[in-house]
Amino acid sequence: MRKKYLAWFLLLQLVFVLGGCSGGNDSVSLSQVSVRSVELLSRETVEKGHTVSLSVTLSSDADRNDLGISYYLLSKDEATQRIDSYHFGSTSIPVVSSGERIYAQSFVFSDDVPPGTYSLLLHVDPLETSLPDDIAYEAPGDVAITVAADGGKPDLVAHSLHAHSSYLVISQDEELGDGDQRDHISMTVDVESVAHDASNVAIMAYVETTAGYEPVRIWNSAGKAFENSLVLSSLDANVLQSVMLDLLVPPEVLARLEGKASTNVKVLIDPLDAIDENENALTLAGRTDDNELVEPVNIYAGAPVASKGDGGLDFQTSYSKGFDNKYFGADLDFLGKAWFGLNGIGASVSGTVPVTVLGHTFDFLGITSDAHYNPILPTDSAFDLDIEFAGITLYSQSGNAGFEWEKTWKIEKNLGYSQTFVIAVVPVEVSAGASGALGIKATVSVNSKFEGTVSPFVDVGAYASAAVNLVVAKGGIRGTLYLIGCSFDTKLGGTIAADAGATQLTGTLDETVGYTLSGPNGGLVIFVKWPKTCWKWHVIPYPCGWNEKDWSLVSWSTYSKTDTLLDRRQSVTVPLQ
Amino acid sequence: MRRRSVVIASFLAIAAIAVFLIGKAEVRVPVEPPERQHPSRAAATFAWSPGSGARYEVDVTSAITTGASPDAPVPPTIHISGILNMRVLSTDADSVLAGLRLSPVSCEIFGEFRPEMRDRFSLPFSALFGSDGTIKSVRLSPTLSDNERIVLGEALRSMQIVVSGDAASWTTREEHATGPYEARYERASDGAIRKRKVRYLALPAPMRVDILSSDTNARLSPTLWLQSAGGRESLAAFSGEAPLLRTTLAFSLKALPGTPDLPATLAGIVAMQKAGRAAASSTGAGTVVAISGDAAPASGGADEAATRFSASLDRFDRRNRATFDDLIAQLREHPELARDVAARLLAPGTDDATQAALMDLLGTSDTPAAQTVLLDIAGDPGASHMNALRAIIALGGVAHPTTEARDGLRSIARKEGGPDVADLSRTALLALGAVASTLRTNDDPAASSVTADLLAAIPEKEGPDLRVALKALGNTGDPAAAGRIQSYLASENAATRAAAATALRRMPDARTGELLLSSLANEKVPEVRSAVVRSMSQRGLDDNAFAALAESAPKEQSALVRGEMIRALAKGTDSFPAARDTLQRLLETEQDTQNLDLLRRVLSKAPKTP
Repeated sequence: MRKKYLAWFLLLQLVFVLGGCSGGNDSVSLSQVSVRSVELLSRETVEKGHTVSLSVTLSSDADRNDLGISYYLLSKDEATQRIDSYHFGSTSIPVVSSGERIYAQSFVFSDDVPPGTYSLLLHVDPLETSLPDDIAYEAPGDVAITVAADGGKPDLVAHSLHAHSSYLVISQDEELGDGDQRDHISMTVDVESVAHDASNVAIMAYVETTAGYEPVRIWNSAGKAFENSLVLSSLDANVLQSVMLDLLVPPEVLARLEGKASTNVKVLIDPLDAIDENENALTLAGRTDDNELVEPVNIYAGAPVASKGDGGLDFQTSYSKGFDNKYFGADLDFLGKAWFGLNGIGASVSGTVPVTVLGHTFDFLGITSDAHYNPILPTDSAFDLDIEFAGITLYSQSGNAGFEWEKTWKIEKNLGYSQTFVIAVVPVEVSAGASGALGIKATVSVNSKFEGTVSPFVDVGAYASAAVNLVVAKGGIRGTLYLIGCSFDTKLGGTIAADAGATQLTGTLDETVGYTLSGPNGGLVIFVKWPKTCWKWHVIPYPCGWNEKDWSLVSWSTYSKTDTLLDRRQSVTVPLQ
Repeated sequence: MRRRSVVIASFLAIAAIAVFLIGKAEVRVPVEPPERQHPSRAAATFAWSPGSGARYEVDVTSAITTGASPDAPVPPTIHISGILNMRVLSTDADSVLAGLRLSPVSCEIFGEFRPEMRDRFSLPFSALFGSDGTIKSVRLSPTLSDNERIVLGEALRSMQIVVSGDAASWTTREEHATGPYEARYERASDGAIRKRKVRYLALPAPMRVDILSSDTNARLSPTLWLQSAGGRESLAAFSGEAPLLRTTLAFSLKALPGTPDLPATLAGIVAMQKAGRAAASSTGAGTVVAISGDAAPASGGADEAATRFSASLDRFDRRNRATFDDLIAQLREHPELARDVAARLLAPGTDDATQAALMDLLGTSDTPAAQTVLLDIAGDPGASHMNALRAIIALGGVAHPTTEARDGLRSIARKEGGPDVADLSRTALLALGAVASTLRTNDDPAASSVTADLLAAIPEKEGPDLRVALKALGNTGDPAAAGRIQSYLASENAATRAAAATALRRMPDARTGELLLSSLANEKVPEVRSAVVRSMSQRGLDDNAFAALAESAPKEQSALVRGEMIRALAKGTDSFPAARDTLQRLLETEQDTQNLDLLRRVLSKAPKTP
């Protein structure tokens, strides 16, 4: 059976060569470049991920540019006459000068090759872009290469670490006295398990204090608690995984940061070396330990969540969270404010959710609302709400003194773009966008029992695709992602009344702000789709559907958190003189 | 089994020989390597003799890879090879019109030989060359699909050599479908020209193309265009920071002896193109296998389409983009199916999230039928108030609003009644504003009539209706409405002034910019000042606006307004590097805790300097 397929293969090769599909020119001299010798400069035993260095001696009759060389490993079984070949690596020589010269080459060995000892085969100009025909050269027997087993061991690599803000805010807790712990800084780390899957991969984070690097706690979405480490249950081989990290600095560590204006945050993958790694699978330039990344941050004694303004009281809560990798990102900014002062009582809310996909930023949601009631001058009271999408006001609600409104308002929108972009001679269709739900829950009462509650929510996904689409074959990247879901649970209001002589305003002011946030989930794949050929009577080919294959490129780990940011109620009196 | 293999092998061998012979007969020509045989010094400038002709052997291969993709199961390449015939059709002082034909030609896509493309690619076409070699335009056969035009046109442009007299080295700004780029040229002592692309200039944001390598060597022909050219380039394309694709392009062109095989006149070329188009349409080959994007969805009878659509609706997952796109494609092919969406949307068991998503589906499908259905829902007393609002909002967002949709929105906007009717009426006004903006984008003259309607709808009495009417006018972005909105900046009512300021954010005219600056200087009410600053920011800061904000922010008394100023300055850091310094100075003086938080956050997003 094997011989039958061999016969088929050889004949098809014959058809290919004789058919002239390569556009080769049989009238041109074939011996313009020749390989004189090849010598292995790096060690003879290699593992996947190793850098291989070798020198190639070429003889050329003319100067040439960008001459490609592909290297193959050959194993020959003398007994069965079987020859197996595996791709070892490819290089390009930018300039080949005429005459006989030695060229140093190196590449990273990244293919799956069974362990064993192999001889080396070179193909010069395998695509036949410079020469009429590629040139094959088998190295002498003394150039033997042994592929060692990597033992199925992965290499864990932290690729990048970036903070949502470069400030580590150290005094944002304790204001509520509710015992809840709130993160001091949030970051995104991109990790990869090179060559093989890995499971139960722990991530720990540290801050640099006077006592050196000390561990901090990381939010665990599954356990809904800050823990000493975050454990990723599985990492698929060669897939970039983006992980959101909310970090909480324990009080005793916080004390050792006092007086410092900046520090470093360190993130370490597999800190206890629990996973047996093949550290050579991937080496990164300038990195001595690819499991570790350090990010410098400023230290900021953060704003208290409530403050007393001149002549009255105001409670303000701001919340900002963001995450991004090279492909997708989202920011969430929210500001809720309740105030009581000379001009009465009021509440305002503003929020934006810009979404970034393939470098395009879409203003997915913009909300502004302002409500105020002035018991002394009721005509100076008003409520205004604007809900914007992509810069257009979709919905507006307005009212004057006495206005009452209660509403849950929700719509679904999508926006995106699509364009054909040409790179070299290839048309590439690029499309990206975001879609999802946006809305508010509102309770508004513009009178002495005042309420100006507007709680926004958003639930948005993103999609992206960049692909060569030639109908007869397609390929590129594509993906969809559940990007961000966030709802705020707020109450902004209070009571207000003027005394009989209008000498003072008295009342209460309330503000409660909580949120539920779920982070990105999903990813991007590389795909290729090509026609499937079936055979009738073993000889007549006909198209019969499509072959398709895809590989994960990037994915996100799930994130979620619920928290109360502020919960305050206070009596207030403001003299009107 | 062995005998059967031998029979098959024999058959294939015969077939191979036949293909070989056919290939020989069609593609192969006697070749006399030009450079070897004619080592004389190359020409310094292009020769474009009227009526002259040339033949070239050409070979173009482009390989595409994505990120760190593993070995592809098929070679990700486009390969075109054959004979390029060229003839000068006419010349004038600055340009040369040349006829071209790639015949015989062979094409391979992703490793598959595509014989059906050969017929289309071998049709003649014309190209207008500048006398310096710039390929100003390429007019390909209409038979080719858009993507085929790109492949063939760009294959020709990849060989573009632009000379500058007999200078030893020069730099040019050239352009092809990817975008404008800078190229450097050097001329060797033997006349050979070396071209290297240096960088791409001003690509449409956020696309970026990095040139990883680029090298072309060419010799000009003493008789016509080029004697030879060969090159290789590697490019990497990004969208923002996201790496998309890498390509490697290798090409070669060598002059051959012989007479070019193409008509001697433009009329002859056009006639041959028409004949090719007729042949393609009669065989259907032009549509079945053209490189032109996704094949059309399978057609069928109305019942079949409805059944298929119903199944797609059952599968619809609003978080799965593919299911959304599938429904959109079906709605565009069978617009009458919009009724089925409405029925599903209004069915008692449909949850609220799905209702919202289906409404968005109707709006995105953009068909006249879908717009009619949306209007029906907006006026359906059986539909919930929220669904009526959604239908109106969806109508405001359609890409090609129909006259019926515009009239329907006008009608809803004029209705009077209780709070729910007023809510629908105001939302319809806002939607009309969005429709006017879309019509303006589409260069539809109806835009001005919608703006005129909105201007006429402005109530005399100040209050909530006026504020919404101003924002609806603001949605138009129509400078014709700016004057009327601007007049309300002088209203005695602060809420009206704030609404006017908000409505001006999409008005691009200079007068609006001046008025907002003036309002910022004179307005006393913080909420209005905040709206003014937000509008300035959304319009985009110019030099005057930036200077005013940078000067006002440190003096601003209201923390609320300072907060808006910080946001506006933060948005301007890309255009005004000095904005970061202003923000840094504000950090030293700001007392409001929320603004301090905000400042630190926005400064974090500028280049980090911990």
